[in-house]
Amino acid sequence: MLAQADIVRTLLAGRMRISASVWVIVRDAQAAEDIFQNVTVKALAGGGQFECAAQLVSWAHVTARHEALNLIRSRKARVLVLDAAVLELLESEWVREAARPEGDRVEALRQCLDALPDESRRVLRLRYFEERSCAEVSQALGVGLDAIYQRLSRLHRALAQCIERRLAGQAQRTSPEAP
Amino acid sequence: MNPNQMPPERRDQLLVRYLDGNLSTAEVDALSALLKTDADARASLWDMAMQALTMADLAREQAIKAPLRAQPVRETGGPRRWKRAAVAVTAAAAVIVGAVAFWLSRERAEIITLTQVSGAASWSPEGGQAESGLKPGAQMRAGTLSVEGAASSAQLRFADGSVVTVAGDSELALSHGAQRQLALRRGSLTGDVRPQPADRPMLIRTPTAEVEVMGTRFLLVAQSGETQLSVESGRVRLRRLADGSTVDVPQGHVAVATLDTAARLESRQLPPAPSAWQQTFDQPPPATWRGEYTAADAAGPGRLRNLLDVSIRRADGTPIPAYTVEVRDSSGSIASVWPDSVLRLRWRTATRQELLVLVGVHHPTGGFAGNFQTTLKPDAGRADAAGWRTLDLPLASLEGKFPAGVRLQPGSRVFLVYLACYSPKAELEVAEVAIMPPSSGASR
Repeated sequence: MLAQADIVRTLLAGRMRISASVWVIVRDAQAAEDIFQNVTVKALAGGGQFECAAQLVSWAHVTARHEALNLIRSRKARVLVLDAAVLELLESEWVREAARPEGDRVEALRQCLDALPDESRRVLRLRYFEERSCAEVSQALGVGLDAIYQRLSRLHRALAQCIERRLAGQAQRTSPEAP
Repeated sequence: MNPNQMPPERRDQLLVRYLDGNLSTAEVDALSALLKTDADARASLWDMAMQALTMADLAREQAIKAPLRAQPVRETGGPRRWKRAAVAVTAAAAVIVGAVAFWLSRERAEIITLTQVSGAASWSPEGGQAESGLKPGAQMRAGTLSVEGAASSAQLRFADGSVVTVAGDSELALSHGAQRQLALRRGSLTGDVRPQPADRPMLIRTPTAEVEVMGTRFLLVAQSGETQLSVESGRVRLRRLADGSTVDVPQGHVAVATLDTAARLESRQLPPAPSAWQQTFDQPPPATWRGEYTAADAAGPGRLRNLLDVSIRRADGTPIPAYTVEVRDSSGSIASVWPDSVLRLRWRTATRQELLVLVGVHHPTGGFAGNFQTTLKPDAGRADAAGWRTLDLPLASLEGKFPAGVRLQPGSRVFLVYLACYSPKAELEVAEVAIMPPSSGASR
């Protein structure tokens, strides 16, 4: 059985992935963080029910998804969410990602953000640092909404490629030399 | 177009629009169909979600590191004197804009609003007379906020929405300037700080350390020889004043700076708190607890006897005393509690007295969460022949007192149990304080 300290350690190690699966549903970083914390509290309250880290991670993803959907349903405004089967499929793939450490990826993103031109950073800052809607970003920058969607999709792709390059470079530097 | 044949760029734009909440029902259905069959689309969504959340995390931690650079002035044609005039006008405009920006930022830094207050709190404006009997809504500038007594608290809001809560016996100085600079001379401060300008983080100095806050939630506890920082979200830099060494404390971690420079300054994970805890005073309690310790003797079991404390100050500054016993652990490690956890008390008073019971808690991940209290009637609980009363008190029966109406969150961490009477004839003695988990079957 996992001790409380192991539960906390395991959940913190997978925090970003669990929160990401929630964020895809609620699309609100603060709500995703709140749900992650609720899941952590529930995991600790149910102390002793987890036999291994994998079981805990899987349980946390499912519980977080249910909390996210409940939150969406409790909101007055109608919010469209991806098909339930898609959410489960995403979850199963992201749970498998649990073996990859999050910290390296976060650090790589940090470096990639620093390397972006000012204008690109400004778009990202408005959208994700300040959590403004794309319509608000478009208004703030005096650019059409479709142009913002186009810029963001390109920026996400550029960042993903940059992160992969940096992680690959890191792996090469840390891999043992061939005999 | 068949969604499964969608070009990557269009597919990614569809994902961005979904994440912006701007797709029709038909488009969400089409995107769902695409995601079911297209592993690349799922990978793109994964990348976007991870990037967005990491940036949301960074927003708490700091604004984008490099501030936006001004656009370079483009050379234009025309006579040189016009160029000189343009340069002069530009320089003058820059001076004016800079002066206005400085003035505005200075104003923002100066105006602070007291949003909530409980117990004894007073404000000493820089160069002015101390004011007691503070009311929510009071506007403050540079000066010192004093909070007296373990049960007292005050909450301040800065112009940018950042909130600072000072709980328990504390003294906080606020200074002028475009950069927010605070000095926590003693006590406990919880910050919920909005992202600060990259070149002007909020600085908080204690007797032994300085913390640099870009935007995050954290708890800082300062004593004369020690500062403890625990970070609830984001990342905070802690600098030990004794030798200038620094450590970046991430979410869920705690670091302690003392005067001892031989010890390495490092952060560690916030340890979990037990769900059950008991103190029967068979041994002397830690020095941070409040009460006069008496070992077990013919008159009773090991116990703490009340000491005098300030409970509130009238507007003219006159203190109203309380006779108190306090159990505390600034890191919030006494116990993790749920609304159906039970607080067991065993106490005795020399005369029939009401007893104020206050429990202070931190959030499950650290940071002040609230004070909860109730007043027990003189005949509450079961009494034995020697006059010792025992009571199991469900925490759900306590009222959220500060902030007003606060509710106890599951997994909150107890840092304070405060018991008080208001009569010098009370002679309050406490022989047991315990917290029992929900499933313990304690009598209600």
